[in-house]
Amino acid sequence: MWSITFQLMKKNARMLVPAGIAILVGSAFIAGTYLFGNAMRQMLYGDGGPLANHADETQIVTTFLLAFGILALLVAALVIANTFQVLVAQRRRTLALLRTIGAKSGQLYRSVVLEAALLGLIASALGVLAGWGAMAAVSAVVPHLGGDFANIHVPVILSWQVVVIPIAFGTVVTMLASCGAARSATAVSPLEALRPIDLSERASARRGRAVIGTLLLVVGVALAVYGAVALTQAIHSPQGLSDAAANTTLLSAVAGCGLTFIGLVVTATFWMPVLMKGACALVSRIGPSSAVAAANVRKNPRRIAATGTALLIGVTLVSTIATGAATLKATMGETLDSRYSVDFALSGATLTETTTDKLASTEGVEASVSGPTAYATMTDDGHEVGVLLVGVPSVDALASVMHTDLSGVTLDSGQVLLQSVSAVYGTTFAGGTTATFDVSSSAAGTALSTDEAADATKAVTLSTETRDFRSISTMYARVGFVNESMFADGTLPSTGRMVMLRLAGDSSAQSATIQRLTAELGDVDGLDVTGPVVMRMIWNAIIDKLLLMLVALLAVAVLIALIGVANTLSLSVIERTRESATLRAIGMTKGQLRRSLAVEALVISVTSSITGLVVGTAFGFLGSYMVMSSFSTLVFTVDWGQYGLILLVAVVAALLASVFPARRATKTSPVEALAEA
Amino acid sequence: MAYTNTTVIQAIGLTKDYGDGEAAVHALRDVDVAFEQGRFTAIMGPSGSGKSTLMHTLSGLDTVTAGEVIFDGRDITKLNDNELTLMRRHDVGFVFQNFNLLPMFTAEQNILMPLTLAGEKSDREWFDRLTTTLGLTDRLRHRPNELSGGQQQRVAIARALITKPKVVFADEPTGALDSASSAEVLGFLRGSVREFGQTVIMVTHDPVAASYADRALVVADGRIVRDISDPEAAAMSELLTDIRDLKTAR
Repeated sequence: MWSITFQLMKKNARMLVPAGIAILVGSAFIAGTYLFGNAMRQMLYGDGGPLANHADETQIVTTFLLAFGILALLVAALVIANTFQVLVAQRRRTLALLRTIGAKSGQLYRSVVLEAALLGLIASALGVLAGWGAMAAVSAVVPHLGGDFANIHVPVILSWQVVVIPIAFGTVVTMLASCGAARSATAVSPLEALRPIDLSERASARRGRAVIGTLLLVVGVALAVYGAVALTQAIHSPQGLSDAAANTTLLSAVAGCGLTFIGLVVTATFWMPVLMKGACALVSRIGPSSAVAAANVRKNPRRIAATGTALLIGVTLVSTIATGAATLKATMGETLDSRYSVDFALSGATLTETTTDKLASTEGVEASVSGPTAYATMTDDGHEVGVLLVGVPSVDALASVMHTDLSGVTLDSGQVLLQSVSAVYGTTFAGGTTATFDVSSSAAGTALSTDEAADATKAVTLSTETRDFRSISTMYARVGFVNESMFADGTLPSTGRMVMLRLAGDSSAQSATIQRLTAELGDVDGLDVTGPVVMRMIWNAIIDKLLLMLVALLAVAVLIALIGVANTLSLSVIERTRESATLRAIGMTKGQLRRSLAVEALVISVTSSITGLVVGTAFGFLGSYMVMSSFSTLVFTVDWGQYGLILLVAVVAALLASVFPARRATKTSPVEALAEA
Repeated sequence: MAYTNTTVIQAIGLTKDYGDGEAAVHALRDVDVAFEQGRFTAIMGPSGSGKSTLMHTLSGLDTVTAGEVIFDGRDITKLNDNELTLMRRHDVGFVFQNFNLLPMFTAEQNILMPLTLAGEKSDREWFDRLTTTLGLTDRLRHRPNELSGGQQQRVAIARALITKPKVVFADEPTGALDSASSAEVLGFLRGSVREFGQTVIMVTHDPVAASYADRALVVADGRIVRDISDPEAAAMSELLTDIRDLKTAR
């Protein structure tokens, strides 16, 4: 059977190329993962490395990256499965003739799997070479990047895992993916050599697929729901969320999402054409090319599902991450907002009135309050607590920058407005009493010995009121607001200044304002900056970096998905050579044929992309919930701009992918195509 | 017909239906026929008569609705797929009207294909004898697309004979050939019967082709209506026309 298999493979070599590339990319990534791990191990934990003599933790990183590599290979499996399905379909007459002259069905099965094994072996071996080459290139380029990189030597270490594991995975995945096609090869009857039979998938095969797919869907959804519900219960239970509970529920949710997705992919031949029916009905009214496209979509669900699935995977992956990131940002933003009462607060000994005036008049600042500050200590529940006393013109002025309800507060001389909850100790301070403040006349925040402190302080008694405002300052356990007249008349010594600003606009406008404020401040140091906007910017930057890293890792899988789209579109055209030739023979122009292929690609891509966006959003929301609900109330966000972009890219990719197959379809003359294969 | 020592294949009560209910097609109706060893039999009939179906069921390519086919002492309707395959490999040879050869292999590889599938070595002497008799010796390295129609059919005949089968089934072997190539191919088929003692069963609608046979069976409406020894082209042609007229008159 070897020579026969080899010859068959040679004849269809061109059809196998995209599948080969998919495997190559996947295995290159895996090889790269191990090369990266080896380099990291050497550079960090090797002799002379910064973490030498520490426990080697590169395994964790390698495993994490490997997960993405396996994901990529699984997507490649889809491409391979479809390629072999079409291959076997194309070869039916040849296979039938072989059966007639004495090939057993088992021999045909083995021949397909053998072909897959050869393809997998060659492609993944090339992938290893590619990964090795890439690593070598990186190693060569890094020292030339200048600056800190000049002295970095990235070793290229070829351990056995770099070679064996990608090849093993690649070959096995390819062989497994070809099993479905191998099975249809055994179903070829010798009679087909005499009269070609138009194919439709065997009823029993479809039923099996429906059963398995539905099972996966049901189990997957159940696991995901269980995970979410169990987590909610654990959080609200009296003991709170334990580590074990957190892990199991997260695992359940992740497994649930994975199974659900696989279930969706397996059953795609059933639900995708149904979803497209509406689009088809709409589209077929436009013209004859569209009517042909619509008919093609209806007629061969397997073909449609193949293209649609590849796109579905890519879009779902990207939109899951995008949704997760958007939700995370929004949730963090809201959480932060609730913990800071002022958009931007700046205090310090070196802060001058000129600076505060400059800041107050910066573009984007809606309101501002600035005043002198004094440092004092008070006793609260036995603790000695540091308090920053801030002089403000009036309650109204304070209310203009604070996001707290200050109704009913009066700030006359002799009164102080304190926080009801201490951020540091968590203790609540009830107002309505008087408290004594030991005010220091030295610069706020400087460390004093107890003696020095005793000399420099004077006691001031004020009547207290409290409101729940938060985090005006990061350096002091408490902040108290007093009427600025108390500074003017000398009761309180001014040892510094504070300015509080309210910023206008949404989060991006506020971030821009922060940039301007920071520029204004220049090199003034010794300043304490707080405010949710700054924190939000830091968080968003972290999330964006994480997002970028994840997207880069996913890029491999997405790339393979795109190869899959192009591959399935081109294979579907090859499958339809006779039909296209017939249409051309009875009068369809090249332009109409091209248009019908484009319309088909459009319908498939729009439907699967929208489905992918919906599924990805659901996964993203679930993921964010599992990760963040234990400490935040979630804000489920949908970034419509991102979605629009993803949809656009998917549609454009599908249209582009249909260009080459369309050209090939129109180039063949009808006579050629109708002649015997 | 009685089973004689030289009967190589026999059909008893062969019935084949396609579809069911109103749209059912009765391709074969309770056919009884036996074929002797070393004879060249032509099965003739108008299109739709069931002649191809008869050949498909006799050779095990298709299943039957009722009846038996005794080939070499075994009822092949009871065999499973692997057993049928082995039968096709060793005991039966096929020559078709179209698409006989594997386009990606040379003539020699095509001829040896049944042996390659069986993993067996070829009998070089027999191979040389076949290729010489069929005039293929200088064409062995060519691919099918480099051969004429007649040459392709000769390669197919060689392949059918390479395993020294008990029966060769030919389905319209001259259907796609011009008259000169047809005569050549038919000559070789008859030659294989005379020289190698082969048994050939050929389905054809061409009366001229039938005249090369020792015996002609005429099939109409799923039944054998005539069994003629030493058929002649003119007589066969008239017979076929009568049957066609009978059909249209009804």
